[in-house]
Amino acid sequence: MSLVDWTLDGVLAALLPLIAWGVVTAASLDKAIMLFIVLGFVSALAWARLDAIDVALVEAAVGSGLTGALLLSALPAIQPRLRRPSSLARRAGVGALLAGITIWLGVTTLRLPARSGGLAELVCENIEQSGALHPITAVLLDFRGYDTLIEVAVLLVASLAVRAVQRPRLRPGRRGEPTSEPLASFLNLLVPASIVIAGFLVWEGSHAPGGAFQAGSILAGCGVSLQLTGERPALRMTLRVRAALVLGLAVFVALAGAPLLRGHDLLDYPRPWAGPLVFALELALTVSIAVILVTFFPGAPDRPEPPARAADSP
Amino acid sequence: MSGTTPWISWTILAPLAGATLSVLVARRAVPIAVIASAATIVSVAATVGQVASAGAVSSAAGAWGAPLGITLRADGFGALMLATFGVVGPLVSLQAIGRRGGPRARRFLVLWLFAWASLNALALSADVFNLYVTVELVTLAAVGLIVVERDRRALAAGLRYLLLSLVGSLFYLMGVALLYAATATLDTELLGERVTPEPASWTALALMTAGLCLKAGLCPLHAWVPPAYTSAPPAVSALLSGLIGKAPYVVLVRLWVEVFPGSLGGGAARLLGALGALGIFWGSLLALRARRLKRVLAYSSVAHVGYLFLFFPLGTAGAWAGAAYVAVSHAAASASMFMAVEVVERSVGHDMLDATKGVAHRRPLTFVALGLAGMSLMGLPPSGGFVAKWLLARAALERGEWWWAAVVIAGGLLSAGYVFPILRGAFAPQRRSPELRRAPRHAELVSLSLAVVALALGLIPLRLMALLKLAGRS
Repeated sequence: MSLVDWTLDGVLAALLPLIAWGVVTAASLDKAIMLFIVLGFVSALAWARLDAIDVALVEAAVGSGLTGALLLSALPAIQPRLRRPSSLARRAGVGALLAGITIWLGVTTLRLPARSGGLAELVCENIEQSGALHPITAVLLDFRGYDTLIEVAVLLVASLAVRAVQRPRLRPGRRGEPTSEPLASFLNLLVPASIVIAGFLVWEGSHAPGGAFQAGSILAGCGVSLQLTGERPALRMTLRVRAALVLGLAVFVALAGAPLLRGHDLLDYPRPWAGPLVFALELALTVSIAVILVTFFPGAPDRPEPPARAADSP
Repeated sequence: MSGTTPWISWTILAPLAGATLSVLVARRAVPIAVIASAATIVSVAATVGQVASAGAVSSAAGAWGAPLGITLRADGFGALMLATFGVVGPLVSLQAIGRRGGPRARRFLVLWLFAWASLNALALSADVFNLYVTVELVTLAAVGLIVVERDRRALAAGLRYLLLSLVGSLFYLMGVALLYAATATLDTELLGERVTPEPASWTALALMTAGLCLKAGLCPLHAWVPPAYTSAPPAVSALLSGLIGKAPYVVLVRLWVEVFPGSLGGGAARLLGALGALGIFWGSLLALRARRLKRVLAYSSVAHVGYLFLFFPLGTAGAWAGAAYVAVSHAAASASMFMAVEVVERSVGHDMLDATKGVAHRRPLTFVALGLAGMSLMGLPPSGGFVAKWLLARAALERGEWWWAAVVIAGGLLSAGYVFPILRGAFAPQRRSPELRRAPRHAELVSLSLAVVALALGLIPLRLMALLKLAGRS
């Protein structure tokens, strides 16, 4: 490793615990959230330095970006009801317990035998037969596609549960104030750019880092920006939106069930078609993941409204 | 899977397809749920039949097979859990189907179908990471079900359950990561061959067990149980207490019996048994003091989770049969009691202990259900609860560890203490019989059928035992 590598890694390694400490001890919630977003971004860089580009992309898009936006949009609702922090003794107790577990885990991990690269070799041997040329996509959508099938169901169920508890007055097509000029021109750049990036990531997913989860979260980020700035109203559960919500899972269930009808195991793609089928699945998943993630957001934040509009809201 | 019909996969895909379709065509959710349920019941029955006649059935997802892919395997235990989910769950969901639409009933059905698919997937999974994913789907569907009526208290309880449950999941996931790093496989069978006694594997066992105990609500980690079970609608509490609460236990058993068989009966296992005993006493005492019917049942569930954990220190085939029988009979009895409480609450308007006054005369079906299911909870012969506790006590005495048997018997006596007041109240003379509101007839019938199932489990234990023996591990 060169000096530059050492410096870069050293800075990242020093920054991560510092920022994490800042998140925990921040004086106010909004500061903590800001630092949390930075933490996600720095850990994304750390993952990239570890050559885990797929993890880095997801961490940046979901762990930092979308989660941060979600926390910020929830902030006005939780801020006034925040309880005072618990006693010092209690916090010290919890901190000591967590520190103990962390140290124990660290020691155990360091003492692991360095023998195995897990199943990496086996994955590379079989990748030719799978529906993708990138090992991570092959694992996610072919070798362990059944896991991903259930995970997509998890996302959909989460969306249904969130919808069940969202206050109705925040849901149906509300719009905020008209967007300010600089914001509007920023969105004009952001939206088309993120659509292109998302498309690129899906396409790349078959042979390089990228894929449905990354592309979907970037598209979702675009949708969320439009929604939070009041440029577009919150999603209404029209047939089209519901179709987009279930598209990924529906395609996945169909791909799982079709081989059963022909006497094969579930998700056993017919091999010459595995590549195109996996790509079609990625496209469907991208759409669904994007729409599902957008439904987690409550729509434009509350603003004082003229009485005429307030009267007809339920 | 050469030759045989892949019923095992349909037990997961049929409810999943039904759920997906009913999100899309929300207006037709009820007929879709009926068809999907029928298809799932057929698949479950066929799978259980295959296991009963030919032993364990398996299927490799994507035809890859372990260690690269994920294996679904129905052994005796898996088949028994499939059957439990497939009998109790659809019966409970009948109350929503009986309500014929309405947005709440439709939301309930969609979430129940997702929960059912994930429960079946969990019972069939032979892969520790896949088990994590199925547990997550079970948890999220459960949270959705708890908040299904948009009640404020239920919202708080659901969020509390979600947060604690996620902590449990993370502990489990850390354990999975350690196991994978140490053995380069996630398949339970391969793990059983490759795990060696080293720090990484016992750390993994400790982390995974702690996480699952939190999710199962083992005393003293049961803080989320009472608020969730009492604020959710009774039909949801029936599913939570009867079925969903058993899911983490199923994973725990797979872990201890298949991956770490050497730890059964050891020191850590005795700690789990002691916590189970603590749960039996503490849960029963709180149930004795509770003033509301739902609270009695919630604490009774905490106590019954305790019985399940008596298997670990004993570790014998007999104890295993007993614990599995507790799981099955409590599923039916507890679900029946919650459905009966639904009838009482709807008729009287509240669920205080004295709400059952006069129920014997005015709602005889519900009263019979309360009586039969109560018998099973108390462990009176000839109910399923009796067989379960008898098997556990016998297993303890066979190993010469009489104290576990004493715990079982004391727990039975305590449960009589909290079930009897409910039944006695039903007989209490009423000076002026108050106007009862109309109660849902189908809830009465559901409650009664579940109670009959709980009773029948005491009459046909041998056939189910034969199924369990096929698991033939411990």
